[in-house]
Amino acid sequence: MQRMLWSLLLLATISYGASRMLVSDSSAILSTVVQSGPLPSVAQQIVAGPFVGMVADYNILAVFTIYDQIIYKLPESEKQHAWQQLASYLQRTSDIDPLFMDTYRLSSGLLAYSEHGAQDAIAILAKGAEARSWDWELPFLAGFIAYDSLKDSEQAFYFMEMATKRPGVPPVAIGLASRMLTQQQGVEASISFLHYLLTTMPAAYHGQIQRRIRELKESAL
Amino acid sequence: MTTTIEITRITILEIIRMRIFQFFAVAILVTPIIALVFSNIFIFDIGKVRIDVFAAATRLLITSYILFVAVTLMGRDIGQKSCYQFLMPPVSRHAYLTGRFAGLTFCMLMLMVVTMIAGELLIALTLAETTEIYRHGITQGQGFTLAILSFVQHISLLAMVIMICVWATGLAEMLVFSIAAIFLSWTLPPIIHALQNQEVMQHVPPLISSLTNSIGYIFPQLNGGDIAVALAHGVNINSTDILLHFTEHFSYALMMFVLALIIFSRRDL
Repeated sequence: MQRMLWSLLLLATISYGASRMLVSDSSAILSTVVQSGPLPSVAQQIVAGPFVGMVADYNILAVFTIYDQIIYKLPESEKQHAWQQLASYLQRTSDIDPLFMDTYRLSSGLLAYSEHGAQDAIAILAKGAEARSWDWELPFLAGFIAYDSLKDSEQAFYFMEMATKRPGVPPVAIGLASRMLTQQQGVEASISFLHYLLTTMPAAYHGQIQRRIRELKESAL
Repeated sequence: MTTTIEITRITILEIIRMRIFQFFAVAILVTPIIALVFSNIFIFDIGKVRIDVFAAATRLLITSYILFVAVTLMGRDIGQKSCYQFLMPPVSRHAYLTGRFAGLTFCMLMLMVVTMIAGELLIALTLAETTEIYRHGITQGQGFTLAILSFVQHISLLAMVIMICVWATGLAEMLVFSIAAIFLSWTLPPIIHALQNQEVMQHVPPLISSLTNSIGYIFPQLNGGDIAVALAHGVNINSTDILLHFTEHFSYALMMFVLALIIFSRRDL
């Protein structure tokens, strides 16, 4: 009986170890977070109960995971879908915890520079600008993305005007907004702003912004 | 009155000698370390993430105290009839239940004091260690506010659970009904909130909507998510809201406890 138990223990240990190793090698399981997508906001709020903040934190972790998959793991054909899922997670986070700053940093620093992501980023930042009514940064970022990526001067003007009316807005932001609003052009202004953005984002997230700076510099030549 | 105080004293001594109670107190003190580790994964709102983890973990621990200490104590007293050790002249059923409730509340207050200390330590560390960009609006004193507001909510919860315990017939029933009531009190407020959404209202028949709203009144607003989120972002809660919060929970706790006294004085033991 003892011998049989030891054999069973050995067998279970081997199968457990093998399954763990196979799981860590499998991109299919890792990508489930991308495939399944977030629950609707109302459902998230109901499931979260009193742990709304933690669910918002979980959504941000899902964004990190999806971004990691986009950069290192997913084939080109699946990236567009992954970007849409990333936008969905950010939207849900802004619904359940509209004050959470990471949502807006990631929207302006990652989503805005993805293909077709600019409009989603602006929508998320607009929601944040409404919730964080004291914060000049979010309407400013929304205005810049509208100006730089969508070339929508009217929308850019709307957000820039909102930003400049808020307390604590720095001269650099006012100056940049003014240049954008009066000239409605200027590669130089875009580059200087993107450099500012680089100082507010961690090094791991500089790739997309630096690519945009290179594109702008090349177009200016 | 003297008998009530004596039962309160016995209850406190009984609970603080329990290893599970000591575990809850130590676990609350350890919670800031978990919050510090977890927050390292995040980029900017590190202070907010720390408060989120701390608020969620302490809420779970205090709810566990209610379920596993209060309910098992009442289960043993009522289910195994050990309340007869107390229920002999001059101790009335009212004095016994009031003493038990006061003792359980006092021990929960001790856990809240530990929560307050741990929360303030976490905030002090966050303020000392991180720059403004990583801790939007967090100030010293929010750990205190979080613990007080959470304590008030948990008094409601404890009173509701005591009412369930004096009505149920055994420990299994007490646990099942208490867990179900806590689950409903956590999930109903967001459902009611969602039902007030214009889009959802179009698809929900008015009868269902008003029925859900009515059920919502049976349970206290134990969904402390809004308070925790506001404090995590350094948003001050205005004094009127705090006053209403206190009034709501003290009234609810009183209502449940009076019901519990009525049921307990009439039930067969």
